[in-house]
Amino acid sequence: MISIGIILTTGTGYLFIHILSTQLNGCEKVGLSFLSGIAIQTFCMLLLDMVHIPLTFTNVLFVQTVTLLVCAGVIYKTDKVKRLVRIPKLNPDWWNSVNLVWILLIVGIVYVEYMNFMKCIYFPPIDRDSLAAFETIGYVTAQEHTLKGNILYNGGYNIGIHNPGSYISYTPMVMLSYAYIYLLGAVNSKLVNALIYLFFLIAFYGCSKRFTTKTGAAIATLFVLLTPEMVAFSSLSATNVIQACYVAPGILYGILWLKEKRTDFMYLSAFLLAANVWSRTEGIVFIAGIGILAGLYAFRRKNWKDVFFFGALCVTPIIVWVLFTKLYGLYAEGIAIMRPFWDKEKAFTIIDYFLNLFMNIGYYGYTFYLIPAGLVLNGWFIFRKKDNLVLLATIILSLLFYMIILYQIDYKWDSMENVLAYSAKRFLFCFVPLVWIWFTGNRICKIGLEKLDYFLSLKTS
Amino acid sequence: MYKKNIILWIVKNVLVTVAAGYLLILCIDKTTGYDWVYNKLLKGNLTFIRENPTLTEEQRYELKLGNSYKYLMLLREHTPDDAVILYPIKEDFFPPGTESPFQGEIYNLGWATRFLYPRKIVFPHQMQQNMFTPDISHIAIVNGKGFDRIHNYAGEQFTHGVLPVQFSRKAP
Repeated sequence: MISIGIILTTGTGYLFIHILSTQLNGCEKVGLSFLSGIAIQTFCMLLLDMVHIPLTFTNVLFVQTVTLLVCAGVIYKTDKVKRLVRIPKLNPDWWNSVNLVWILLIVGIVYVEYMNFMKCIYFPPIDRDSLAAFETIGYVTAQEHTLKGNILYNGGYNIGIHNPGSYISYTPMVMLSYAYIYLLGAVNSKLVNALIYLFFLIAFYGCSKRFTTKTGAAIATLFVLLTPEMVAFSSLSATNVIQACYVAPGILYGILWLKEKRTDFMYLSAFLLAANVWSRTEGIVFIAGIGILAGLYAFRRKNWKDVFFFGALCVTPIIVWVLFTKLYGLYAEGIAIMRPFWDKEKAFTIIDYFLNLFMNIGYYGYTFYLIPAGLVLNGWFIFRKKDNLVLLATIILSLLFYMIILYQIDYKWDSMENVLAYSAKRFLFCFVPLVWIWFTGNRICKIGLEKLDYFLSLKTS
Repeated sequence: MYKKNIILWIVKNVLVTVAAGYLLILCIDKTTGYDWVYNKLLKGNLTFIRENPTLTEEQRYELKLGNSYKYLMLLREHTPDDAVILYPIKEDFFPPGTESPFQGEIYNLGWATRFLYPRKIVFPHQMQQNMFTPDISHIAIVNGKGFDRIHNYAGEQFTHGVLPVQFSRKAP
């Protein structure tokens, strides 16, 4: 049953992505299939729960099948069947461009991910945050066939459930995806984490090739995969890596939309960024980051329609979730300070912690060292030709918004230092793939990588 | 001509790949974070998995959560599904100044629920607010603590366990 569920999820996602864009390469389509499938599935589960339909195996699978058939129907009606399966053409040009360095990197990616995947599915969920919240909520939801009515959301039983910072107000994608896998009969939920990360890597590699060469894409993918803290968390059940899996392609397609004015990329970006807030509310910082830049583009191009549409699509899950929480009393005491204020010590503590995190090789390897390196190497092209500037601006704006959020929090449930030391390090996972793409996609790096690819190709031999 | 091209391609590619591979290995081995993640976290775990491919789900939980998992399984085995357990607090599991045999946040409601569900848990300090207090059917004992929550208990004292005490618990 687990296999059937996974196939249905992946199939639905594949068809849905094909509806959004027929122009994606094979890696992008396959990679985004499970990512989008599980997001759609959990959204449908919430809608079922909203209208009091029990989340049973039969109901959930029935809805999944209907969604798949609807997607198939749309593809048929819109005449997109022909491009549904794209088999890569291994023509002489492709063979001529193959080089051993790229093969070495791909082998490295496959081997490292194999080790990570095995670790992830072998060990059951044991990390604190999962057992205290996501994993257990998913497990109980599957047993009780409801999210809103599950016993852990009952204030008469779980006395602290409405306290500040409580998980009751967390967007439900991760919990519902765990509930889904339990409904399919799994003994633990780790398969969800393993599959999300595996499919993300495939999608990321495919999407990266739009920014850099195939060797550059392989370098970026391998080093994202080797990022110590991120890969360690990818095989746990926490939500941060899952969020990063949606943010990275979401932002990258957003950049492509702004650069190439392609509507299909706008839909893809909006959908993936919507899934990002569906997994963690604070993902709104990325929507705000790229939203501001999209607004500037819209101002210059005098075309506001797409930006409004983009924004509306991105925040749809949040609106549905807020409606759901209001309807069923799933609230936690607020932790945000809504008025503007100035606290120099607090501001500098946050900046200080972030700087320390950026420099922590033990957590992120060389990732954040690439920003100053890229600025130095590519400075002329950045300032004179605005090379990759939109991506850099998105990274900086989103980081700034993250810091503002941390600044506006009233730390009632824990000290700010604890949150910065233990939670904030995980917030930066979303930036890791973006920084690697920004660096390998910089003009200087790209020229170097193109020269390398050309030098190693059969054409020049 | 084509043969010559192939040989040149092989020579160039092998040389550059060897150099790239060497740089990659150097980068992994000489950088604390990459070394830890590749050689210890990933390779170490893969070796363990290959050596222990047949461990059951229970054994894997026990391996990671140790006595905390064993304790929760003990409670599970000795209580019916509909039990409401008066559950120890953090200080009972981790008495200040002593070394506890437990790991993780076993005192956390969500944490414990993952293993005890569908049994319900009531904490002593929340008895007045908890809707299941009138239905408490068992009292969990840990580190020899919890007997004082049972009214006039005169039975055998033990370190870890659970007692059915529906009518004998103290009033909150």
